Amino acid sequence: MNFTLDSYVATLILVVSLTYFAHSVLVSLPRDRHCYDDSLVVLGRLLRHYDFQIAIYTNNLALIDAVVYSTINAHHDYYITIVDTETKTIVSEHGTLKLSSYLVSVTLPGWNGALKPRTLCFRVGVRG
Amino acid sequence: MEYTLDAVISFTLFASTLAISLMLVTNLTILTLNELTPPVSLWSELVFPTSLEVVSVEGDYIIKSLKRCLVTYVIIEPEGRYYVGHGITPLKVVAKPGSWIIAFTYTSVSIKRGVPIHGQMIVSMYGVTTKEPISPYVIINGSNYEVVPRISDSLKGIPAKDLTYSVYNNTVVLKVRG
Repeated sequence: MNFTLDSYVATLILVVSLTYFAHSVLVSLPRDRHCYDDSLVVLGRLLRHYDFQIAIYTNNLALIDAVVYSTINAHHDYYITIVDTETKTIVSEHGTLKLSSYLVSVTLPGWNGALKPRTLCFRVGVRG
Repeated sequence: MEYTLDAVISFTLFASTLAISLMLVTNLTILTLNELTPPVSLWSELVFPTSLEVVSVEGDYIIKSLKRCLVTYVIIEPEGRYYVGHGITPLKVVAKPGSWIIAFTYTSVSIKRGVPIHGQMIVSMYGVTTKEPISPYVIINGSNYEVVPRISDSLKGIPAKDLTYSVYNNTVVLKVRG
């Protein structure tokens, strides 16, 4: 059997096209449409409350714990790191260390020079 | 191997036509699947993330939770006066037996019934209001009450891994995998 370059090119085009087609169909298959990033949801809500921001700026870990557990389930764990945005140093970290990867982060802008910007890195341990 | 202009043009036409055809087929397939398949929901019910409890101990009341958490409480006395306070659980509160005690976290509510109230009263963690407040809140009608958002507050027997956080009616809730 004698293959020419034409046949190789045609086969390649067909394979690439069919792969793209199959991938597109598989991606579009219906699946869970209620997928939320848990950590982002929880951190977003925590930041709406002054108690949490006061706890961050006073480095009151007990209050951080109490505020976080007023939002999350008692059987879930969490991890939070507070970073000084200007000096890039960790001010404090709290929670379960095994959750210290895949963190969501947000930066508090500070206020009028009196409160320095702080970056919060957070993860709630729903699935691990 | 030598390619003529004809061959190049025909190759280009073939590749373009194939690409356009596959794009059309893909889009039509996606459209059909979306129309035919109802939205899939893996979640069977919504529950509050934290479970507060108001218990009576030797004439006083204690607001308890599994882990220490920040709680705000509203005490409505039989005469109609109300007080708002907050603290960290377990929290001891002083109230008359006929008083309503409503304990809030940012995400859940626990209620100790009191004597029936005349008319309707809307209570949130920020106090008693006449307009719809920020949820969660409680609408008291006589001796009955309704918690808004109206969701279950029982997490008994549900594995922690079968939960995911969401925002429902302005309140953080947990969705239980069905």
